[in-house]
Amino acid sequence: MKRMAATRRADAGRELLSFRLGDRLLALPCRRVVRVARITSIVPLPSDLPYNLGIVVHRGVAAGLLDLAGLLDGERGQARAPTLPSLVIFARFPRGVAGFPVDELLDVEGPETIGKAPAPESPAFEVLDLDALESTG
Amino acid sequence: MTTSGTSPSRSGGPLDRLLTFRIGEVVYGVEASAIRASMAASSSLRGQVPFHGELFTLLDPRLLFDLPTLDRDCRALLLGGGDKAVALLVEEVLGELEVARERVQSLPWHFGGREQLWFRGLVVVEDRAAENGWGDGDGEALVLLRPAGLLASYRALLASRRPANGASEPYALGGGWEP
Repeated sequence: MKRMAATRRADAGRELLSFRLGDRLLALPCRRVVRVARITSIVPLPSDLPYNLGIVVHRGVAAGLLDLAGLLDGERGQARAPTLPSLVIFARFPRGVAGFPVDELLDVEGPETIGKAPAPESPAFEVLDLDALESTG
Repeated sequence: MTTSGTSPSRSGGPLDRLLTFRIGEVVYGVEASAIRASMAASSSLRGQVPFHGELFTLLDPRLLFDLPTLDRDCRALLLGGGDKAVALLVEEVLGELEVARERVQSLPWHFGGREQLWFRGLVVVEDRAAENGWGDGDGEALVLLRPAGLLASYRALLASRRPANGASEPYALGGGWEP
């Protein structure tokens, strides 16, 4: 993952969806976001993977649900099931779509902010590299 | 989930008839034609049970799924034959459902461990509860089991727990079975 101010990016024109997960401020390229939805139920399908929360069905489509915090921290303990209903970002990983619960959506950072000096109060975000994240898991 | 009826094919293709049942909070299905018998049983049963001249290995999936053991009556579904004969302990049999074969999906991509042995896919079925004013109407996932895969994992688990003297678990004869 790259930690950088949201307003300074090497590839100009890329919009980022920023969100909060616990105390972490994270961002994801909008082109990787499939949808954001509030889910009310999870199918806790058994799995060997510690960060696997199960399956969620939204609008007739089934997708896997991941514990993003566990995946980022490389934890091998029990996945932390979210409180329902839960806000979920469904994102496009290299091998397919998966969702992960988040605590709060923050903003969409557009190209107009690129190159401008960040305001002192602007927080730094971790920009998720979904390709690297998938290979880590 | 209301698991009776039909999940129709959009193209008029072949349908599979499934028997659906619940283990923990998940609804599963197996091909109804594979069911040899269904019996009331106790969740504490272990070992094997004879039925029509064959021995069926009692399999409690909760042991594989890391679920707490149950202490109540359940159902045993007798499936398969020969060395793949298994008596699968389930909590509740829900009913039969016809599913279009084309609607069976692979598991989401990150289910890459033993889950690939245990489950052959899933089907999203209608959430009929939404018609009654509860449930969100998104549909629910019905997970299709591979009994042979579960049995292979279960035997491996039992082998890892076998005492040093090689003693095996007793037959489950007598009390606890109600045909």
